[in-house]
Amino acid sequence: MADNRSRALDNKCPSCGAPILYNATTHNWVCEYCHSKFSLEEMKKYNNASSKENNEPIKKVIKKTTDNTTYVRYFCKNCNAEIIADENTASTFCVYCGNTAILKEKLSGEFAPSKIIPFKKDKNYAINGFKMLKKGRPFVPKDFVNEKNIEKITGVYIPFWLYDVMVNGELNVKSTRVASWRSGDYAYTKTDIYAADSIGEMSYGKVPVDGSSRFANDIMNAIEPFDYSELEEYNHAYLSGFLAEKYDVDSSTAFEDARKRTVKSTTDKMLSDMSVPGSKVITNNTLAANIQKTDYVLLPVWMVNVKYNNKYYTFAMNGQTGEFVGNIPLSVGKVILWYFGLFFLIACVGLLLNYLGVVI
Amino acid sequence: MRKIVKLFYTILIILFSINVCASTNLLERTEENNWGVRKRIELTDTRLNIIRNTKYVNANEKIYDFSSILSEDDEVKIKEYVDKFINATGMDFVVLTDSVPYSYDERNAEYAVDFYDYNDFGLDYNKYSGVILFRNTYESDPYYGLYTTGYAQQYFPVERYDPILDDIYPYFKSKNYVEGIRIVVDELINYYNLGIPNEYSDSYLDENGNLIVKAHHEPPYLIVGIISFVITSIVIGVLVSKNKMVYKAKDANQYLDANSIKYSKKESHLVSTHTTSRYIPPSDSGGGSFGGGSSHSFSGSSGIGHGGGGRHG
Repeated sequence: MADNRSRALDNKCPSCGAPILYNATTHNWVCEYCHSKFSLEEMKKYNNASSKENNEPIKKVIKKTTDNTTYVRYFCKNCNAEIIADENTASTFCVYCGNTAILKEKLSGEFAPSKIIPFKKDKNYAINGFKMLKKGRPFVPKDFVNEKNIEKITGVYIPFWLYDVMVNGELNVKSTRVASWRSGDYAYTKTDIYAADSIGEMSYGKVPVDGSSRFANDIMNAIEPFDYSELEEYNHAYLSGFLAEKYDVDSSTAFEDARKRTVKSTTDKMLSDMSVPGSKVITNNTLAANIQKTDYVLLPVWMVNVKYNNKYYTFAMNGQTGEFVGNIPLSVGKVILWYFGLFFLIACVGLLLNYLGVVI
Repeated sequence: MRKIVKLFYTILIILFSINVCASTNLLERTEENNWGVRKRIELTDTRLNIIRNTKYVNANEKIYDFSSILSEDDEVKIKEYVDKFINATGMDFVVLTDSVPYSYDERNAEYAVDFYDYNDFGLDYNKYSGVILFRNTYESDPYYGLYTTGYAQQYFPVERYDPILDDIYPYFKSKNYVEGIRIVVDELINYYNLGIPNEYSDSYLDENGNLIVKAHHEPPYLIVGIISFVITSIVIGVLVSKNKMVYKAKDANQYLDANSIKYSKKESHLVSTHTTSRYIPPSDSGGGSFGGGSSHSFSGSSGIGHGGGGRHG
């Protein structure tokens, strides 16, 4: 019976068989029941998450579509309870036993990530990051950064495409330098026009593009960069205790974002390397970006959902570096108070300087 | 013959006793008496030439009628007015008449203030405050002027001495000097009692006795307001932007491999150059000055500052 169902994969403690979670700060797996600790090698050795048995393809049995969203039904491997997830969810939790449910078919085959950066910052670090948003920002509303406003905080492995890109081509530029001077009763203006041509190439390594349409690209841009030296071989075991997504934006579509960014950077670099003075105008640009290599990886992000004054705000923290981003609402009262206070202060200083004879 | 000689001497003595009154007694300037200069004036060669040509008198007499236009009775009345002024203000008052061939206002003024500066006028030690009323009886261009020194410049600025000069014009024109001087003294005392005019309340005398009037200007509210608005807007804008941390990445600079940059062609050349010229008509407006104050004084050869002016007639 069980073999005919889609089964949600979990990670079990090799010692006691209880669900086991990945610890972002100690970078190992800790059993909350028997307090045993295991490294990745030990988890593999005990035939856990990434074992052949657990990675065998299993057919899904039910698929229903509601409100343009396709939901898929799975069964918890721990308690056999039903788990409903949308078709892009790759890792979730069983609402009955709380066990991590890794929907492995979402991370297999064409959806199998090649690498992963494990979480290095835990939930408490994300909460502290939220609290610290007030620092250096005088217009944060009172009580906004109160922990009680956090509705949900979730560690998510987000699918990213990493592109190695080569940009090459030709850039033609015209520049104009204008110099003016005065001699006697005449003003002179000299206009020099230059032409500059460059043909060249530049390479970019691991330009990230968010592969999930569920997460806003600008938020994912803002938490860059990740330290790719810490990329590990993908293993399901890293997903224990976190949510995960599979990509729903394919590589060729996502590359458009990387193409624009790399071509712009190459154009800017070529312009700055041109030894012509004055303001430059591009007359011809044949720069083109070509993919050298594509990696599909999972990168760690803490998503923090905040409810304040009946409005929802989304923040994100880079689960590796701790970079915390999001748009904070403004306290209009504070802005007005600051504006008039500062205006009055500067005006008083100006009038005082004028009174003391300093030129204004 | 002896009788004739005696009569001549008698007539001479009588004439001398009538014409040579105290006010026209001249003293001799010598090196021993520091050329008659008691003020703190540096005696340069140029100044010494002028000092030697400036009449040296007893400064206590106050009335010096070298033009002989005042009778003894006139002098007695005028002396009363002079004493009245000195008692009321604590400043000196000098009446000088002479006939010098000057037509320009400046030359008349220089003559009068040199007489004041190179004689021991001015009752206070530092600023030599006082007023000299000069009547030039030069036939071709008679002139009169009222010049101030020291603190008299603050009490009797142009706004005050100008009306006085106008008021006494008919009296000086008709040679009724006594009445003219009475009016001068009365009006000066009235002004003195009113105090220093508001416009000069911030004025002061520099080390040379020049009246320095601080420039009165309206605080530049509009400019300060605009500057404050711009600075405040920038600062608030920066602080507001700190609340927005989410942005769309536009470049990939941080992923560029610096060692991968290769150019197979990198050329630049000058395509064209041309120069144009434009005639700029000379501007007749000078540069402005800010803050500080401006001198409202002129000085004679002594360098001491004076105020005042005069009228032809």
